[in-house]
Amino acid sequence: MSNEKRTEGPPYVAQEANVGHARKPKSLAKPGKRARALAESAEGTPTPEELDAREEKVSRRRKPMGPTQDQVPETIPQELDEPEEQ
Amino acid sequence: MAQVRLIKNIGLDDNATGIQTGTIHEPTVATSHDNIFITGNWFAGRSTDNGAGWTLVDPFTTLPSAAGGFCCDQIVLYEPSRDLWIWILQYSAKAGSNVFRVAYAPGDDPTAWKWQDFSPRDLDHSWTDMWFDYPDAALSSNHLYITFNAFNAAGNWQRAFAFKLPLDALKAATELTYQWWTTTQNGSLRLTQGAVGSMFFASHNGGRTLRVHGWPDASNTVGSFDVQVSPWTPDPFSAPGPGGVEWLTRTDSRITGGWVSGTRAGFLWTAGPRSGRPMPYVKGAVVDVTTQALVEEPDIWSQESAYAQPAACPNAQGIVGVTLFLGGGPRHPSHVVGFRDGGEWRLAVTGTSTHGPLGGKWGDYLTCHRHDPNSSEWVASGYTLQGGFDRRNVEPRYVHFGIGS
Repeated sequence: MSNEKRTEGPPYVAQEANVGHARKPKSLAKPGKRARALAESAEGTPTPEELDAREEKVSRRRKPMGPTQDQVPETIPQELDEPEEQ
Repeated sequence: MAQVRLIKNIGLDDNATGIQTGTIHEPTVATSHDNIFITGNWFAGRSTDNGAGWTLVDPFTTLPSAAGGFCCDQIVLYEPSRDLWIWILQYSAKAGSNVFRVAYAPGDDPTAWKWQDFSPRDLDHSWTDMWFDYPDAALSSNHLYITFNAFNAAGNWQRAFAFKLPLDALKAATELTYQWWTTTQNGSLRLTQGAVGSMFFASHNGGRTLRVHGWPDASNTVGSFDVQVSPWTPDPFSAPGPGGVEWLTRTDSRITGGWVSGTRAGFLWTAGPRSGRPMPYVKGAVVDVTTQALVEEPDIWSQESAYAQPAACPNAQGIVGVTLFLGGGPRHPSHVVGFRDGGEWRLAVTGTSTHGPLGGKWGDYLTCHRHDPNSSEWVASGYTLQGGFDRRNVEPRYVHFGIGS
């Protein structure tokens, strides 16, 4: 996408993005932290039966890929100006 | 005539996956030299010897838990200019919200992960009933771009997001100032692989309209324009294979492949049959982003089987590589890779399932990335079912391919 201004051509819409901040990352770099993280997560791997249940749950109806018809906002056209009375 | 050269074509066994596999497998892969990282539902794996041996990298336990625990969707990337592995993980919702995690590690120590988590509430404190789902990720010269859909607890689509994270900050592992953009008009935003100075992403905008967004690396502004493609149908998706076993019941028409090379951005998605396309097929649209004109429609179609769920990326010469599935008629879901050769696609089957999936569900996404350091070549993810229709029979595939004569 070019930042060059165009004086004609197809409609082009621009929006400003927002700015966010995230703190310094967490790390596994230190061996002690890695061991503690593993210990905290030691119970975390699902059993094969729990994964079977995930499979069944995931296989249900897929979530929509975008706004559904009833989520599309109504479009209200700009009305023509009322003609002045003669 | 050029042909697909399969340099590595590996099916991962149960030791590599821990049998932590699901049929909605969503595999992704990235490679740097002899190091390979692969993800899928619900495992990740690493090789340090170019695929000869694999080690399970358990996404449930390798990193500490968050929100409702590790869920599912993952993406892996390798950024060569900063020698950085990037691993994106989606966590389950808890109390109405979840996080996605951006983990990153240096190329010479892909176990030394650092990470930052992102939740909807970080963006807007009022977004307490919102959770992220369905990621995509791609790199530009200086940024990591990530897209997600967002849903509420009732499963209703709320909005889509695009995030832009500076790669230098990830490399330096510092606090992060990033940009994010959101829309309630379009979902399942698909990024373009191969971006340099500007990232592009696209979504359908009703009927034949493709909405293309552009976000320059050096700008805080997201622009968009609409382009009309030739007629196509969003359904039905049906391609029974041997024994009448279906595999497309979960498929929809969202864009799943995107690439940019020079001034041309291309997008691929699964479309329903129509005149001249007797089976579901991959519809393509290539747009010149400076003139906003549709310049090519590189469909991938077959007379007897369906092509579906494509992903794409350009090599260093701008030649588009592709990974996708082919199934129905005489074959169960098969994994296919290839490239665009002038006006034609050159494709090769890497593996064929022995069975179709239970319940007819398959997907939802694949990845194709440039190989490092052999940037004329690609690496692609895929999977098949081997020996049965159960999730335990899923065999992820790692494919390194190039152009042969």
